[in-house]
Amino acid sequence: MQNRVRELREKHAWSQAELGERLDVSRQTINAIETGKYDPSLPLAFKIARLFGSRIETIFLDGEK
Amino acid sequence: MARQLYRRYQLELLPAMAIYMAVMILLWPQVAKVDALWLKWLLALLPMLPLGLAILAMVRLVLRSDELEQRTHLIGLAVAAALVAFLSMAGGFLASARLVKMDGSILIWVLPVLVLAYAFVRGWAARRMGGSALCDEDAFRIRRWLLPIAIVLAGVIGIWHAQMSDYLIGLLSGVAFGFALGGVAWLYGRWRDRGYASARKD
Repeated sequence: MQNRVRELREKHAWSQAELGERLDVSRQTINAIETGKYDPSLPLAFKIARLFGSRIETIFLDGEK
Repeated sequence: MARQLYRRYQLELLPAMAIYMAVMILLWPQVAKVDALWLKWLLALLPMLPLGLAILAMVRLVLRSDELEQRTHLIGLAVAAALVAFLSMAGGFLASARLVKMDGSILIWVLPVLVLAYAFVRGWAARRMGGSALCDEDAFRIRRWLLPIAIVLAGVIGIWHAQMSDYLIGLLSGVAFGFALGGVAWLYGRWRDRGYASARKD
């Protein structure tokens, strides 16, 4: 699944570690989400959307469409 | 505030392992020397107390981990459990067919094999996800000391082996081997990470 997490994080000038702290996950988890190696659970995806003040479907994009 | 996950884990694990080593060196060998049966039972099972604390630290680590880390823990534990079950069945068949003689003390190897397989597979799973289980960023930097400690232990065994019992030589050799293995794994992880970082620069 594609996502805009890296783009939004860079917009806020946060490092992966900083974003990880805000979401209470590790830097490796942020890296895995950004590189598309790991799709977050629904609760974490909603947490990410809340943090960036966006709707979940504008951050996580359905690559099959 | 940083999660300090691995630092907390080490703060719980290291004292437990230090107590375990002290019990194994000082108290456990007394099993053969005491007469009272209840004391034999107590001394024989005494290592389970610090081992229980160590296992509790591992459980807490998994419970405090985030969802991706829990996934890599699960992959590591599942593969390790399958491997130990497979080896146990192979050993059981060989012993039942009276092709190999085994006594109950072989059960001591279950936990080390489980932990080793778990560490290896978890490292592999974490690396596949773009992370590293060998270089946890918030951990105390003790891994760099594993190889020097292994060398010192090997030196101690080499110099004083004449004064040591076979039991103590075996115990210290096992610990030195474990530390050496951990140190080599850490060096390998660093080497891989450096190679990855320089490849990204290119």
